[in-house]
Amino acid sequence: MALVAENISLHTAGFELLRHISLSIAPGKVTAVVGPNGAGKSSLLKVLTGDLKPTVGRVLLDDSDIGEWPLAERAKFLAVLPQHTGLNFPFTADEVVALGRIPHQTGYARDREIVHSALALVDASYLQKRLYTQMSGGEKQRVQLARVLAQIWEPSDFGQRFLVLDEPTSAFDLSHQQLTAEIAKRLAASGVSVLVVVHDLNLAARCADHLVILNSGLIAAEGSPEKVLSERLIREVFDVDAVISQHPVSRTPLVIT
Amino acid sequence: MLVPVFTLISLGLGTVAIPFNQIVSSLLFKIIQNPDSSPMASILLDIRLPRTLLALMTGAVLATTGAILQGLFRNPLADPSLIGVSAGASVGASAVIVLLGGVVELTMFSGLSLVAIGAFAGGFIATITVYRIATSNLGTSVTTMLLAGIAIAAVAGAANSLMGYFSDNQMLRQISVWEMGTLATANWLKVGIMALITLFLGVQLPAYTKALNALLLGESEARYLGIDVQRVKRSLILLTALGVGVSVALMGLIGFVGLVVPHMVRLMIGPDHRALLPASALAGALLLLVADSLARVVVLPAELPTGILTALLGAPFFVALLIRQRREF
Repeated sequence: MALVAENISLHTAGFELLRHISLSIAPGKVTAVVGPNGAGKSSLLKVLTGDLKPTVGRVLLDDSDIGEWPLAERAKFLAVLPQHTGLNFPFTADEVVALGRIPHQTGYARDREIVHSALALVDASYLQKRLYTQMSGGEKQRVQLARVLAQIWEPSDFGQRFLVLDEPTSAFDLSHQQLTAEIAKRLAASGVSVLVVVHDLNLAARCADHLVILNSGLIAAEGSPEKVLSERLIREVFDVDAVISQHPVSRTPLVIT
Repeated sequence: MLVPVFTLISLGLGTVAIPFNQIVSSLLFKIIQNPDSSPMASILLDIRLPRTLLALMTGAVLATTGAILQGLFRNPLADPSLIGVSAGASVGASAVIVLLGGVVELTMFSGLSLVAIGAFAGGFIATITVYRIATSNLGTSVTTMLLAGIAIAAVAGAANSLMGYFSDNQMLRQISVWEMGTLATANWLKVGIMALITLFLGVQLPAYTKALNALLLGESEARYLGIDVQRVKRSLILLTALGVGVSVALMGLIGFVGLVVPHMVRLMIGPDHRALLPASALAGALLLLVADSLARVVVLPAELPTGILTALLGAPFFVALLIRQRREF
């Protein structure tokens, strides 16, 4: 099963947010989308996950239009973490993560195990009984990450699982950024399709198998980070002079600005 | 556990105090079909008992629908007046009192008055209007709904004032008593109607508790969790309009229960709707029962409109909770 965008465009109120984008989210890979502010990254994610309908073109999930999938079925194998989650009710972390199990009927005991494991995975076990409304920005973001991880914790009947993250690390310190990259890679290794929007080019270069550079609603370049990241492209897209080197340990491209 | 105890106490309170053993024996006599024709039994069975049952059910319905709206709007300060039910009902009731007051007898169907029917119609029309204004082909915008509710309430307020301006003293008094809300007009027909509504909501609502929890995250998030958000919103708004509309029609405006009870319960047990809805129902039933019992006895031999007591009782308790909560931070 694959998630495929066929020549999609999105227009709202006279603006062309996305133009002629064709993209395939491969199973078992981490696909990262990068681009300057307003490039259309979040819009692309919303269209790919069926939250917005494209003006032109279509998004296919397992060969049928994503809008035609019953929501309750789709939620069993496609989890999405939006950029901002405006939860302002005093749930505990446990309760927030347990919301990720709503699509499944696995029973209370199994759900509890999954909730605890998901919190442990994002280094948030100590938050279990704390109130969401009293957490720091980074803690909230980790709890929300645990929630979407819990949603696709187990292989689905459909075989494939998708995890879509919109700037999951924006409030994270360095160690939690790296932890998130590790989680994304490990999930991909177990067959999950991971699609992530990130701001940090180096973080993208370290965790992505496939890098998509978005600029003004168009795909400026895509491919492996080694192939895509060039000094010329970074100047064109981000309007910044940069030097591309190589990470001494991971051997992935290193963007120095 | 407090509910049955207070129910028994409430049955005894009133202009004519009924001793506890008399209550128990009268109720037992009724159950074993042995008619007791003493005046006390008659007060108990024809006046006190329907009134007590009505207080319990109305409190439960108002508190539960308040909790639902707060969840739906993701705003702990939302209440039924926000979707226009109360304002519309008030216009409906005033319109019947002012326009038909001099023309026809307002009481009919053994105690179910035209005012009640007007109030229900007004409340329902206002809610549907607010919902329609806020719904486009992109779905229902909660923010637009809040604003539309405020606009409708303003229009309704103006209409009310206009009608008040052109009405005579007796009509004004009728309008004002209706707006204060009272359970004094309880009878078995009203109990029957309210029981149907309470039962209907009780059967329908459990299916929506998970959806309400997911909705607290946001609408997109709820959709990603497999919730058909538009369908859930429409059903819950209709159920709320039905519950509040009938309560307001039968009893008048009883404020505070829908706003504050769910809020208090949330402070005590958290926002999980699977526990919040039943707990709010119990707490709402209890608050309205206690308020109504007090309304009957504080100014003996007369009595106060219940709506005044709910606010007087609930507000200090709520403020105390807020202060305690603030200290914990």
